[in-house]
Amino acid sequence: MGDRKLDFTKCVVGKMSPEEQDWLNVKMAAVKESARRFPIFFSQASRFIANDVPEWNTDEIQTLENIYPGFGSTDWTKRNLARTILICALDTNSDIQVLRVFFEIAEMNELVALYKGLFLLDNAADFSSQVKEGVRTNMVNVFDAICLGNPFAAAYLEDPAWNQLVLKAIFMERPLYKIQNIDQRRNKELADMLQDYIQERWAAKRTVSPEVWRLVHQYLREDVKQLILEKELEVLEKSAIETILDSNATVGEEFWNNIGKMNEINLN
Amino acid sequence: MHYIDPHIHMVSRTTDDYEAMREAGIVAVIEPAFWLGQPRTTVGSFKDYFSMLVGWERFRASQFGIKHYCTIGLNSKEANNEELAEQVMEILPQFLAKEGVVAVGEIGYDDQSEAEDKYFRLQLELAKEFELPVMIHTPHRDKKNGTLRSMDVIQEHGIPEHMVVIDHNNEETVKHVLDRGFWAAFTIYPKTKMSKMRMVNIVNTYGSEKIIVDSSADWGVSDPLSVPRTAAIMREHGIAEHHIHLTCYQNAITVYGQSGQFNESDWKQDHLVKQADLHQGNSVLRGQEAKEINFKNSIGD
Repeated sequence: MGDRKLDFTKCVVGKMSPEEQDWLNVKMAAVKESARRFPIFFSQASRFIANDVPEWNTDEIQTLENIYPGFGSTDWTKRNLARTILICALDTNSDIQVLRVFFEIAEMNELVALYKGLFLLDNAADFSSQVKEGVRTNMVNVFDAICLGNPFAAAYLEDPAWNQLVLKAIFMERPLYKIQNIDQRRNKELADMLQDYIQERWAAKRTVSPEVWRLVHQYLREDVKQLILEKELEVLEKSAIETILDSNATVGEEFWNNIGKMNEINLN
Repeated sequence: MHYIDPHIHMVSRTTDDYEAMREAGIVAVIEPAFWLGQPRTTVGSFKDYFSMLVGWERFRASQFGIKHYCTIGLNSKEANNEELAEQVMEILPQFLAKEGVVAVGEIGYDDQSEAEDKYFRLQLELAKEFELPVMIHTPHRDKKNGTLRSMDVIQEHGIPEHMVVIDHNNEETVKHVLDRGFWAAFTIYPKTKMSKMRMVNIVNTYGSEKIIVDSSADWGVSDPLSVPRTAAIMREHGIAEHHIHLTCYQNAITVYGQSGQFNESDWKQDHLVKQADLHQGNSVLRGQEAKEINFKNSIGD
């Protein structure tokens, strides 16, 4: 077992009840022996592991963030944690075959757990086409599992796939600030697509999320600048746009995260 | 008043139906695996259909505030394609293990052929192995004999009667089913099978203790609002509320709850379906105005 898998498993097992630990230990051992029954065990976690979200102390969260950047920004249920541990128990030499078959028959909640867990695998990079396929889902909770608080996409998706993920997140009105490493993966092509999108939406008298400007920053085009001048802006939007127009402003993650959080509050 | 439709094929229904159902008080549905009108020719079609029942359809229902469950099984019509049936049997266990799968079904007889009998029995054994209830489809033709034979076979396999729902009953079958201790479900169709008025008479005669009302609405002429509409007619004809509660809500929970996968708490709390969360090309709304629907808990009212 790779270090990441091992460390994650160690951190997480303790959050299970004694009965749940017994069940998990038996199933982990069985999966290490042979992957044959893995699909059944993975499904049956719904019968044997509770679905509540465990509480973590600061140290625990820090440890988990080191293993899995973004861990703390979404809720991990015990069931998702247990299913992730089962994935980690698979042999790296065969996990791709086992999981490829299982992905095809996974139900909604299973897909969530699968996509959340892939990053921990030693050969995570081998699953990038699976994750690209996952981005095409129309099930919001499955999309969220890939998109929010999950380091996989930023680590392994090429720009075109990454850009599709971000675009789709915007169309689905997902909170962009929860996308792991969103600033590090900014690029001109994405900024251009988004500026076309802004023009299209404004032409149709529709609004855009104030979070969009986070990705346009430093790539703002003259034609869009022109449009901004003619436009009456909403409060958050104004704050975001003024910031990117001011070349002296230093804009950090914090600023954009706040825009995202306030936008989320407005939407709710 | 809240209702459960414990037999409805939502893959064939529209979002208008979902809206109307929720409006009429339906909070949970069970979608039995069945045939699609068009026979399937490969096991992959079954695999994708079963996946749809536990995946996309479940998500689609959730957008309208309805909890979606399903039953998994090889239906009797397609059991007659033995080569295919063998392959379907191989994939069934993986789906039976999944969350929200509340029974093996709908299984039973259509023509009462040898192949149907074989796969019916094999699936009864699967139900025992997975400790799941069974939903029985009784045949349209030679109904009474098909129903009696189904019950004989179930008892022969040692499955306790309280784990089995015999569906699509009529006046000719109900007494046999109840006398032998099984649950008796009635499909209320606009034209065939059972009518709402006949259902009133059934409840007047046999009470509500082990009787369940469903719509079996699918791609044919059928009504996704059969359960609440039948409840309304029962009420008009002076049937007591507790009979309506049992036949149109509670009995489904009691029998399918034995799977451990069908709990009132799943839908009982207040919940807010914010369609804006599921917006645009990426949901079933396709750019329509997102609505906020607040479904207050009124179960037990």
